[in-house]
Amino acid sequence: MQRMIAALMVSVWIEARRSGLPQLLVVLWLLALGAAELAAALVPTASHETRLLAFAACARPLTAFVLAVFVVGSLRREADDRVQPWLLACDRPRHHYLAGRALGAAGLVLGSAVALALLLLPFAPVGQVLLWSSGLACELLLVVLLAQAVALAISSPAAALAAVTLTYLLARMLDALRLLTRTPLLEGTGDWLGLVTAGLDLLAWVLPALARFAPGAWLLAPASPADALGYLLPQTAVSGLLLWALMQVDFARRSW
Amino acid sequence: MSPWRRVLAWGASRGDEAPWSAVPLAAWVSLAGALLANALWQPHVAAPAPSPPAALAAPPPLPLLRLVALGEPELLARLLLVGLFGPAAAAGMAGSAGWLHLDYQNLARWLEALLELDPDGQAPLLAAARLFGEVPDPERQRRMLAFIRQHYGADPARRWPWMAHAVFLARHRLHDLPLALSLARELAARADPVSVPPWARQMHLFVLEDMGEVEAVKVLIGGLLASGRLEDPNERHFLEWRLRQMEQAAGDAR
Repeated sequence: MQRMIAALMVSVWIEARRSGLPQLLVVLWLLALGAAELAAALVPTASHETRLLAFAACARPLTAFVLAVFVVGSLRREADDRVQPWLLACDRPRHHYLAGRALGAAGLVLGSAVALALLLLPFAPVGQVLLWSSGLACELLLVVLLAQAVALAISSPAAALAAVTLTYLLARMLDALRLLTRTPLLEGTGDWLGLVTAGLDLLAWVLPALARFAPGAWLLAPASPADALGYLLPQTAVSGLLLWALMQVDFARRSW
Repeated sequence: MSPWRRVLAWGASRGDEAPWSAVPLAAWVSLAGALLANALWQPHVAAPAPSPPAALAAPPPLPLLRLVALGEPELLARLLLVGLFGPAAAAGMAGSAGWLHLDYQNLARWLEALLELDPDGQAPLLAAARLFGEVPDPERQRRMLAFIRQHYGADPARRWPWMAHAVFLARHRLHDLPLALSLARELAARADPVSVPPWARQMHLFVLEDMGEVEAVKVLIGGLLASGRLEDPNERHFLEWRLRQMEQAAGDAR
């Protein structure tokens, strides 16, 4: 591995540790566990399943959001401190910079997924936890790549974070929205429905359906790993490649 | 600078940009490759499939629903109602047969929870009367009628249409005239003369007539006319005409 890529990757991890990212994630997961305990205490039956579902449902977007905030904040700080132009002035291709940052973020994703899997192991069978955390890792990987691409393209951190959050929510809701436009309940609502349906179908060509990546139901009942990974891995590869290519094209045009 | 341009500039100020020609060929090739891979992969992605409508669990406790609502219980109630009949409708089973798969005990609990979340909302009662109550299964229909009856009393001024529909269902779908009469009497007993139209308040008369209790109807109509509670002249004329018709029919029969 190129030394610059490795150095950047490690620098991302060091920054994450120094900025208290692991502690923040642990605190948020504990809060999610508390919320899950509350939900389990409230339901009359199936409290264990409710606890698992609630924890997975809370921890998943919280982790994605915190990692996206970290990536956006870190890249913007680097740009504002003029570290980015200095690094790019080195005699290395620009994609080494992108790769170093992306691999660093991917390491954080892997660490988060493993930590969550360890946290869930006492509550669910190993195979189901492994499958769920693999799905989560794929989802988080796409989120950090998106955050990196957006943070490099948009200079305002608030606008970049809003773009990442909205894209994440849209990707999580994509399947539900597509089903909604096809329900007979909306029949006769006018021509706009056709436009919305076509727009969502088009969007589904470029946006991964993140709702299928790590559903909490995988923790409750064994899902077929072949079916689950048969979608997860190619979709992550295709979407990741697309984000990587867009990032490269956009980054090549930046000048300082 | 216009406000819109100002917002754009705030969001995407990027400093100087190199021309498109500055992008290396490898980057373009990787973008084309990524798009091609995406195009080849997408046809293998299954379209989202609706979940089976049979999986209707009991609702979570009300405090939990209020927590999830984040201060907007009315909106949550409406969204959850869509969720209740969405799966069956999405599966192409909209209409009465689609509801046969639902657990009506849990359905009634859900509808109660939605009414608790949004007491002014009419949608749960409408759904019970017009959608879930039209299912071709007497047991399920009775469950929905019981739900409507149970909640009518809390707000008769606004919920009377669903009680009237319940009378219709009991009379014409279930052919259970005693039940229809009981519902119609309850409707009349709590109905506000200002907000509830006369035809709804007098439904029990027509049910009684269907039951062959002509004498009882005549007594009731006579009593209503004599009481002076009927302020609307059209209403009075209609009931007088109906009474005359019944007396004439009874005379012909003799």
